[in-house]
This record gives sequence, C-alpha cells and structure tokens, in this order.
Amino acid sequence: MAKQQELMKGTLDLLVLKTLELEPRHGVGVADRIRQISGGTFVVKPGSLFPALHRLEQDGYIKGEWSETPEGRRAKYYRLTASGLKQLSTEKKNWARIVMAIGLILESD
Amino acid sequence: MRRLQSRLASLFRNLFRGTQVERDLDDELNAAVETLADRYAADGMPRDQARRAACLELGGVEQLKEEIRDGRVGATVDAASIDARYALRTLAKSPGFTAAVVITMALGIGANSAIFSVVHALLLAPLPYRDADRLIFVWSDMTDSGYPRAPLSGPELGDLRCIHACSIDAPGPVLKYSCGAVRRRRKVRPAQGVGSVAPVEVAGAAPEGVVVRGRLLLGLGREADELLGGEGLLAVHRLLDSRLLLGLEERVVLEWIRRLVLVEWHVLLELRVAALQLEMFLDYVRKDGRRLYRHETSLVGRSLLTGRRGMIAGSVERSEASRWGGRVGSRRCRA
Repeated sequence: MAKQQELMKGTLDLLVLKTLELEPRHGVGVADRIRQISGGTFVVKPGSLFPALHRLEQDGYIKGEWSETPEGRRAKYYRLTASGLKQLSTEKKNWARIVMAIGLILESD
Repeated sequence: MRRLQSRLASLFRNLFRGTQVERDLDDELNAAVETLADRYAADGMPRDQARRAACLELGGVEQLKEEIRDGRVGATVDAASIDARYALRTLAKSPGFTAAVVITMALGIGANSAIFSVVHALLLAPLPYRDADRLIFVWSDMTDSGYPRAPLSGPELGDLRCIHACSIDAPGPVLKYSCGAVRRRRKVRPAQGVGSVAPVEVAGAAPEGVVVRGRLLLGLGREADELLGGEGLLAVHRLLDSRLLLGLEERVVLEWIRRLVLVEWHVLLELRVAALQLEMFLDYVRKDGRRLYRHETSLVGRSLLTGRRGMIAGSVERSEASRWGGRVGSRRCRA
C-alpha cells in the first residue's frame, strides 16, 4: 500500500471537482474515489471533505440532490454544474502551471 | 457573476430557510455515519461500536456541523442573531440589571444628542442668513468707558441701515466699506498716541450736490490732512453740509472736526453717525454753549470744546433723544 500523503493546500477543491466530473457521488463516495484513484496515497477524511462540498455548493460549482444509495439508504449526491466544469478547467490549468514551475525549479542546476 | 448569484441564493436560504438547511445537514451526516457504520459492521464489528467508529472517522458529528456552519455564507449574521437571542434571554432573567442598563444608555445617548445638538447649532450648522460667511459683528469702541465692544446705539444702527448702498466686504480687524459710487479708497490710520485702532480702509463717495469746501479742509491741520488727504471722507462731506453749519462760527466747526479726527477718529467709520451727532451737538451749542451732552457712543467721550476727558455730560431732552431712537446720558456737569 502506498504511503499516505497529506493533500497540498488548495488542491482538495480540484480533486473533488475532478471526482464529480464523471458521475454524481455522495460525500463518502467522493472520499472513497479519491483514495481509490490515488492508490491510497491521498486519504481525504470526511471531516475535511464535507465542509469543502458545502463550500463548493455555495459557490455554485456543484449541486446536491437527495437520492438512494445502492444499499437503499438515502444520501445526498453531488453533481458538477456547468459553472463547476468551467472552474475545474481553470483549476487544472493552474495546477499544470504549478507543476511546470516546480519542475523547472527542480530541474535547474 | 454566477458565483455571486449562487452565494446570494445560499445566503437567502441560510437566513430564511435555516430549519430546512439544518435538517438537510443532519440527514446528510447521519447518512454518512450509517454508510461508514455499515462498512465497519460488515467487517464484524457490533453495530453500536461500528457507529461509534464511524463518528470518530468523521471527527465528531457535532464538530463537523459547526465547521460546516462556520463556512456558510451569512455565518456572521447567524452568529450575531444567536448572540442577540442569548443576550435577550439573559436580560429577561434579570430585570433590575436590564433597567439599569437601559437607563444608563438612555441617559448617555440623550446627553450625547443634546451636546451634539448644541455643538451643531453653534459651531457646525450655517447661520440661517444669506451669505452667512460674510456676516460681521459691528460694535462701538468705548474702551475709555470700559466697553471696548459696546453695542451700537439706536441712531448708529439706524444710520447703518441708512447706508443701504454700502456693504462691508471683509470681516476681521480690517473693515472695508465699499459704496456703490466709490470715488477713491484710502487707507488711513489713527494719529499716533490716540489709541489702538485697527487700520481701516474707507471708501467715500460724496453725496450728490455737496460741494467740498477746500477752504475748511485746509484748516484741519497737518494730522488731519494726512488722515483725510485733504479731500475728504463721506463724513467730512456731510459735516461740511451747509445745513449743519448754519449759524455757527467756522472756528467751532473746525475745532470739532479736529477733535473728531484726532481723538475719536475711528468713529468716522460710522460716517453718518458722526454727522448726526454733530447736528445734535450744534443744536446744543446754539442753545447753551456751556452745556454739552454725552451720547451713548464713544464719539462724544470727551469735551468737544476743551478736550477734557470725563467732563462732558449733560442731558438731552427725552423727546430729542427719542428722535434718534437711542438713550442719552443723564449726568450733568460743566464743560
């Protein structure tokens, strides 16, 4: 199992938006998906995730709707909005710029 | 823009549909707890322990709720309303303390309002007059009598009103009288040793039909020539009006003018007052040269004939005094 890492500050929103790009998920589902995709490197605790989900919902990037889980429980599923999709694109570009800048620094003599 | 709209909608929902928002939050977190508990239970953990473990994983449901509430739009308003409700409950429990607080605040606010009202009325609010910033305070200089800024007498006020063509341009120590038909302006100063009278710029315009009597002016003396420049102020023109000089010796008039210029020169500012008082004086000279009167202005602060200070006083008939609308001294003595 990969060693767990703390998320870089400011990247949680990007990961949440990216996770919801494919399909709507509830809070625990989002955390599971991030852990799964990152191979267990990033473990997002629900205590951090739910405030982030509510903040993104207030900003209009995601929208929560009540639905049923496969287990038959009622849960709030979040889906990406058009505004969220645009925000995801912006965050991706920002992230690419950061990665490139860090790469340049690391590769410099 | 869209983000702002969304935040405003959230604010509205949080403020006016708070119960619904709270219920949704409860349901969402309970569902998360149950989902996590199901997983722990699936691993063989008893249900109550599984539920406790799920709560721990979330970091405490109530703590999580608080964190979410703090991040809401309008959280400050919400917190303030909670504080206000708490304060009201506390005040309701202690009516004595509440009464003391209310009375203290009422007195404080009332006192502040009263003080500010006075400050506003006296210092801040403009005076209820047109061109209020050009208003000046005009007074009689009665320093010798202990009243350096005595109010104007009735005749003086009347004369000021009569000079309707004149206006005072600049307030302050330097007064500037300007008339509608200014012929010349002259800066004049009191004769040395006479007193501390501010330099005054006076513009005089001779009334129509008045002939400047150069012969009399030439007799005023060197100091008067310096002050008046040999040509004359409005007051002098009026003094030389033949109506005033009727029946009088030229020597008396010259002496009077000399005293007026050298000793009480600043009264010349009130030009027509000088002329009117001269007229009153001349009336008395006609009747009894030894008796003089003391008018309630600084003009006749000393004997016009002898120049002796404090010796003049006299009386004017009440009917005559009322003709000028002013009061007249009642002391009587010899000049």
